[in-house]
Amino acid sequence: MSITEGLKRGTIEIMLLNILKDNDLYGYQICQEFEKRSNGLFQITEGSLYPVLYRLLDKGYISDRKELVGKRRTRVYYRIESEGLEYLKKITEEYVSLNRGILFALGYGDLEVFLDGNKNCD
Amino acid sequence: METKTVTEKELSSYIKATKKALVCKNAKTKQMLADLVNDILCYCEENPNSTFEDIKKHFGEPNTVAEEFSIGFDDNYIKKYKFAQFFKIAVIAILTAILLFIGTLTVVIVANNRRAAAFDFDVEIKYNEVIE
Repeated sequence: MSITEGLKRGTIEIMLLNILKDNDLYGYQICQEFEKRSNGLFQITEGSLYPVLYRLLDKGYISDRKELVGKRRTRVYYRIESEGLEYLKKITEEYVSLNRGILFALGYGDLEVFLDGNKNCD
Repeated sequence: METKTVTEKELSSYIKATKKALVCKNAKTKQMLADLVNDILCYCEENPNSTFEDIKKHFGEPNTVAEEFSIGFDDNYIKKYKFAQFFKIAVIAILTAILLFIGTLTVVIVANNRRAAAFDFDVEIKYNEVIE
């Protein structure tokens, strides 16, 4: 597994819950939203998405409902629950805190300084 | 389930290959495969001219899909699953060995008893002949 893949694995939950915060979506739509919201920088395949979805379902952070599409096919929509919103808030704070810590440790200073530095380089 | 450019046979073979490549086979993998079929059909609806190759390019080869799905599970879950599978096979093997042993033993005992009964019958006939 590449470094990027490893980093992605740790952030799929936070991205997924954030996406579901706005709308109920099905699997394929969720993958498209990942790419759209990250400007193409964060792409996820369905194979990587499903385990996270099912894990969050088991924990009760999200729920699912089936909708009939066409004559026989059903589509599964996922929705974030109140416990999921609380969990999202908690892990977002942890994620931001961790990232700031990493940037400090790497010598980039605070996040705003790092972002400003990159903006000047562009 | 047939789309314009992707045949049901191709889709079915893709799903079967993915299922075969999965490490764990349980209710979750069954759900995953059902979700995968739905997502592929959604992709085909949004990309009506897509071919089977486009689908494999977007979703990945069956081995890749299976690997990504398996990696997404907790390492402990996979270890427990593999141990449970090993334990199941071991129990079946031991029970089979015991049944074979009992079966063989039964056959040997019955065969011995028949030989013994036949010997006693022969002895009885000869004894009766002598007396007469």
